Amino acid sequence: MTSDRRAGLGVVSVLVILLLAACGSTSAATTTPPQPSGPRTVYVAVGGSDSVGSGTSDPLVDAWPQQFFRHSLPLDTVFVNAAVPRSTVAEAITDQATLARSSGATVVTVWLVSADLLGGTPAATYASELLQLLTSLRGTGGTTVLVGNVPPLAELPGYPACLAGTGGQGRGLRCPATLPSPASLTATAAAYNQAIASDAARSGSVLVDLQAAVSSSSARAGAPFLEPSGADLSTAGSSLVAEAFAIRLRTVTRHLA
Amino acid sequence: MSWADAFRLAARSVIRRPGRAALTVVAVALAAALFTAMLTMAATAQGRVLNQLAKGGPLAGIQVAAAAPNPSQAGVDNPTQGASRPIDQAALQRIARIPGVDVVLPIVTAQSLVAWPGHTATGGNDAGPNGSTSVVFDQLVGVDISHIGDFPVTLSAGRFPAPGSATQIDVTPVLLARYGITGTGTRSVIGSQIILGAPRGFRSSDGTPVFRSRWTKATIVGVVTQQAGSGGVLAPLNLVRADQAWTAAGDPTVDPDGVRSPYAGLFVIANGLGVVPSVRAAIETVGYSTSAPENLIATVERYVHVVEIVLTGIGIIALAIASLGITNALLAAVRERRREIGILKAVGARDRDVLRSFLIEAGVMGALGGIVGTALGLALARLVAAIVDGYLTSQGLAGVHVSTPYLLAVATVVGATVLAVGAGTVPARRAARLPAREAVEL
Repeated sequence: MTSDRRAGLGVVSVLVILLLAACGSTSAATTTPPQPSGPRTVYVAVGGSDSVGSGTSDPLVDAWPQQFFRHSLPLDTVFVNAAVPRSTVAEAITDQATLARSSGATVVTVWLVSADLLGGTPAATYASELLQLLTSLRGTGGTTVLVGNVPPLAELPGYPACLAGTGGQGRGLRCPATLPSPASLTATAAAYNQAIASDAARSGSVLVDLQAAVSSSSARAGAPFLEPSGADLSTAGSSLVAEAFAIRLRTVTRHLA
Repeated sequence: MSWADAFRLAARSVIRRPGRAALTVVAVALAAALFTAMLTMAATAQGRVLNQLAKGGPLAGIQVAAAAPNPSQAGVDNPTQGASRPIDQAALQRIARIPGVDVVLPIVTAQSLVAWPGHTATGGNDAGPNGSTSVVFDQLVGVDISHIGDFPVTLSAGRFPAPGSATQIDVTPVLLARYGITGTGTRSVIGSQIILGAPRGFRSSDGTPVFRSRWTKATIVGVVTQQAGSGGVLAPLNLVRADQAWTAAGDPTVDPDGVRSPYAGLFVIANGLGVVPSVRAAIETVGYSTSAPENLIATVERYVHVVEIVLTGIGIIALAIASLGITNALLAAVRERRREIGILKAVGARDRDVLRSFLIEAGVMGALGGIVGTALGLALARLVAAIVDGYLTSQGLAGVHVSTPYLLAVATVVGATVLAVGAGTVPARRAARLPAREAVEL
């Protein structure tokens, strides 16, 4: 083969490669991942200041119902926080329960203890009103209702602040004129917890034992459950409550499955 | 002499002098490549510019605002709007019946809190409610994702949400910038989860106004620049409608601006650019303000056409110079093959047989150069486009895509062949006129 022919062959080879490159496609296929299926979970939180996120560093994100929603419920869940700061059970029956029903809630969490306990609502009245609330939320039985009880008195949001007489340093805490003695309040808290357990059983709701959860957490000497003034839950405390509700929900879901 | 014999003769001539033939073909190929690459890049640039003007939507797209038209702004591309005016289903149907309207696509918006745990929004007015650092106020823009190609939306990373999805969204660079995410960082957000909260105004038992939100989790699947509506989140219609319905059911005395119009706007696609003015006028008669970049597009199209004419001229000059190379090569071939031509004539070949052989040789070199040059030009245009695309996307802007201009490719090959045959005419006629005695004399 002469050098003239070799040169010609080389030129032709380069041109063929360029021709093939020009014919190549540059478009890339795109795929769509599968979507969640089945009925959509609608979660409504019924509660007071603790459920609104008062005391946390970023209430809209760190409130315990928001954490529970983010970490423990399916991706396509709809969440409505019906909680009202300083709400009692009696107030929640007319306001929050109505919203929960109209929202078509399938999962409801209830944690309403501080305002009633510190406000002096008798245990019998509390029991009766709570039963009315839980029954209303349960409806025909299709709604899973989780209800939290009273944590240890030292960890009860608002109690340390009222005890110190600071009223939560401008947080609008409703402290009674004369705070019951610790012994008396402990007895009332025990009566409340008995009522909550009883009402949960009677209404078909699920009891979340925050008394036990917070006690074991305190024993572990983790981050403070309450923020420094003692008026509200801290961010860490909110995480703990959210985790306690999540653990209980998983148990119930497994049981139902 | 048959056509087959003429082809064989031409092929033998090319093979006998491959170096010269290859260089001649390369000259034509380079000219054809220049021609193809310039026009392809010009067409791509034109498409990119017009696409930018139409904000990624169709050129015959018209945006209808939930506002009355301003009579003093008739015919203006982006007029100032009149008073707020809700767009309801009846108005949508009236607009859909206007002659020249191809399709009417609704745009729904909803107020929303955007919570992004773990991220901090920049300060100032961007700070969220209750002093929240990770929550900002923004607006969701809902469109029919199955028609996303018709909206003024450009995807710069990831993909669009699946049609009908309640958990997938795209975000805009404007929203990301509020969280301090800019440039190449925008791609890293794909797959992240954010929380959307539609507010509803309530009045508590003691009369205090309160807001409660309907929160949903959403996964970011893409980053877009969009002009469909005012908002940092682009989502499927169903997702935004659910949030809008929640807000609309609130107490109007608490949130009077909750939902002003069922549709925040409409995107109307006309049958063509020519009918856009009449369709806009008809929509304004119905009672709504419109905007469309029709005047700007027409102006830009005129300028781009001038550029195309100049580039075509340059390409044709290059091809003409390459054709002179063919003339030169064939003239040299005629000089070298005088004896061969004489013998051919001595054994009975006619003038037209010799002419045909040389024209075929010129045509083959022209066609080969045209094919190779077109391929080379397209490859060059893709290479330049890939470099530009990489730069644009690295800046968080929409990239460019080169489509194969089949008509231009065919025209270049045919043009190169015709020019080559034309360039070969003079040497071919000179060869044809050579007398048979040349063989004896040489």
